Amino acid sequence: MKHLKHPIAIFAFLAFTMPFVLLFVLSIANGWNFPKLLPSGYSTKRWSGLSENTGGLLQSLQLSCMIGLIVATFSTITGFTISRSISLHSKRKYLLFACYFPLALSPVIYSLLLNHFFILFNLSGTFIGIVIAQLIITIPFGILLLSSLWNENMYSLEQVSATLGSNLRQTFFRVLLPVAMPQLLVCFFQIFLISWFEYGLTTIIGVGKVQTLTLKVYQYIGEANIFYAALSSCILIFPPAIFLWLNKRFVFSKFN
Amino acid sequence: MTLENMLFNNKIVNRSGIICFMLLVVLPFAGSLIYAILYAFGLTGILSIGFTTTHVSGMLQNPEMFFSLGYSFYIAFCSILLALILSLSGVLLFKTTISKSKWSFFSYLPLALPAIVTAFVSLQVFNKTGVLSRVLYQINIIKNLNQFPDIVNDKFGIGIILTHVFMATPFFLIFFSNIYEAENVKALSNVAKSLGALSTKIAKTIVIPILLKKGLNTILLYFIFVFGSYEIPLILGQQSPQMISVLIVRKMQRYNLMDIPQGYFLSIVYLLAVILLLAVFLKSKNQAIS
Amino acid sequence: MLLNIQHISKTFSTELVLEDISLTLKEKHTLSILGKSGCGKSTLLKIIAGLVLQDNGNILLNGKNINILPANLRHIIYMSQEPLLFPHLNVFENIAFGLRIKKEKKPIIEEKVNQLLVSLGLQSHQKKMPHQLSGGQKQRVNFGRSLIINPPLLLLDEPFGNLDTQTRAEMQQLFKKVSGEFNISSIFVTHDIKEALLMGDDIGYMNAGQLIIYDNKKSFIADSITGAQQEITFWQNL
Repeated sequence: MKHLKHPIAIFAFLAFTMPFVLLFVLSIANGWNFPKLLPSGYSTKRWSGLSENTGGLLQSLQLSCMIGLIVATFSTITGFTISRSISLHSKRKYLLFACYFPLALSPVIYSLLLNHFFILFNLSGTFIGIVIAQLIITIPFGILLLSSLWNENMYSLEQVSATLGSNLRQTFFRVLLPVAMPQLLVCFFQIFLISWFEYGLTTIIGVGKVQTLTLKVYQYIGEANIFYAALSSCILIFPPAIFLWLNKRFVFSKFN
Repeated sequence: MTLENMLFNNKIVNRSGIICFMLLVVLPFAGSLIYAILYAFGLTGILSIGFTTTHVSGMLQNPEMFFSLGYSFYIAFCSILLALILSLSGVLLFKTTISKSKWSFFSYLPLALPAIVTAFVSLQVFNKTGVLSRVLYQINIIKNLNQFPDIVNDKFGIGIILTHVFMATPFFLIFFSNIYEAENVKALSNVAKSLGALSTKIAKTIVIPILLKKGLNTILLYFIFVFGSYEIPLILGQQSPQMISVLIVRKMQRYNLMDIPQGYFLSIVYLLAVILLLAVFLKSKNQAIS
Repeated sequence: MLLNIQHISKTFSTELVLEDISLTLKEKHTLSILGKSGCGKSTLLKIIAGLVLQDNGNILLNGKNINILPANLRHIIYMSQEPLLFPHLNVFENIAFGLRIKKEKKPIIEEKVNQLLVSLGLQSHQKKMPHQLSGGQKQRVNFGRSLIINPPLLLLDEPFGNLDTQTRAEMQQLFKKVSGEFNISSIFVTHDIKEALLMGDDIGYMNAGQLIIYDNKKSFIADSITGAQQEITFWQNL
């Protein structure tokens, strides 16, 4: 504990929490002229304006949530099943390696290259198009993350379950799923964040028509409207911060 | 066979899993790569006139591409180097306290920031009328705005690098701290200490080599991410040189149709660079396994 | 005759793992098989349990051919040296698993599990999770989980291989005790001569995919390939 009073620790603590404080202060600031350190006044008008859906922020919030939930759910399920098939394949090393490509590529460049096909199938600028484009990136991520589930131990548990009388459905719901659950939750959480944070891909495939929260933030930055940019940033970062807190307590501790 | 069906080892189920994998992972990647090659060589697209190397040679003669690649490499290299120095120092200083104490939550906090928000925060801290400039003014280090140096949208990409460092340092801090714990580095260090080694020597010969070796794959992947990063240089970068992602988007989203094949060619060059880096990654991964 | 195995063979890619294996097992008997690792004993047990399919040959259980009956309908339990408890269930629920699968009524499950917890000396551990148990305790839970479904046959593949000498001796005693209590028929595979002699009513020797069943323990000891002679000479010359 003595380390925590170390000046470097205090500096790190301040640096890591500073963005959250700054964004929140800006989101409630009334004017912030140079060279004043603090805003000249505060008001909650921007936050209360949310309920009246000023600037469509509420819709963007809903949209980001919807896309994130669908993408995370679908990628976790497909990652779970496909990683199983891959683990039983004789060329699994190469198949898993192929999953690194869509992940390592800059999403914005990958979506530029994919864009032609999205236009071809009339998916450009649509909700479903964004979901599919994000899935192309997140499914390989899910596969890689969940491939570690399928080890000797998992197959043996499956055999034990069968000899104790379980049919396929029972083995799946009573053994495989609960045993994999902590990792599935981590996978879901991380993919939700990938989707929630995504900007480049969404702007290319969505051609500005699908206004997720990240697009709102960029739009306000572009308009030099720092107070609304801060407000939309706050909405964007507080859910992940809360998730992180939950995740560390319920998921990370279980792994250790 | 009924027997095997009971254990999910059904050939049909497995094969359909592999087919899904091909459709969802391999096909989009291969499809976009092939389309990019066709486009860059004039075999498809709005202005297609049959096979031509005009776009390619046009791009090769233009220093813009090489500047952009070199600039991206420079940004990624500096960011990762600084983040590694900071995070390794942090681990040496605090050992496993980072992952264990209840305060560790705060070192995870920056992971909850998307790139676009971090870039916005950097802008508010480092621009001429930003927080830093105001603080310096208040304590009389600068007399007016113009004395504050260009940190964002500057020639050397300082703002971009600082922002990447801010995002990567906590990540590597937690990452190395976990390795430190998992690899029992503390016990090793204690053995060395009992044999009379100095703590600086222990850090140099034991702790840092173990952490870097175990973390090599992740460091490489992170390098590739920074190399292709988009939001941060988009907000904090300059008109020229631009990082590769920003340049490709500019080329391909332009109304000048002649720029599009060049953009595709640039993407292929970028892809090749990533494949090259990934090949190094695969090699080190294989070595780590064997 | 409880189990009758006729001319079983199995090849993995090009390697012949089991070559024309035949054996019989009487009800409430234990057949112990001595064999080094890699002799094919695990494959034989997995074939009997329905986890691996034989290339040819027949398996008769109580006179019925079960060649292609799936594992979950055979109810033959295969136990390896890894206890393989379900990590998400506590001791009580691990033991209750087989009954929950059968959708047995709650009071019946309570009663049967508690009875087994007592027999196996696990009452005080019933709420613990597998990772909180010692190796010997885990294997006891594994026994409980297997015995609760009244399996017609137990297959034990080096079940005490991971345990220290003292725990191993305790577990051998315990197995003897519960075998009598629950009328168990079993095949017990081990690489330990003493354990093979101690646990089995009948005894066999397996090497390189071939199985020899002896008429009695005397002829097992007399046969030089089992190594029993060497062992005796060693102790005599000490």
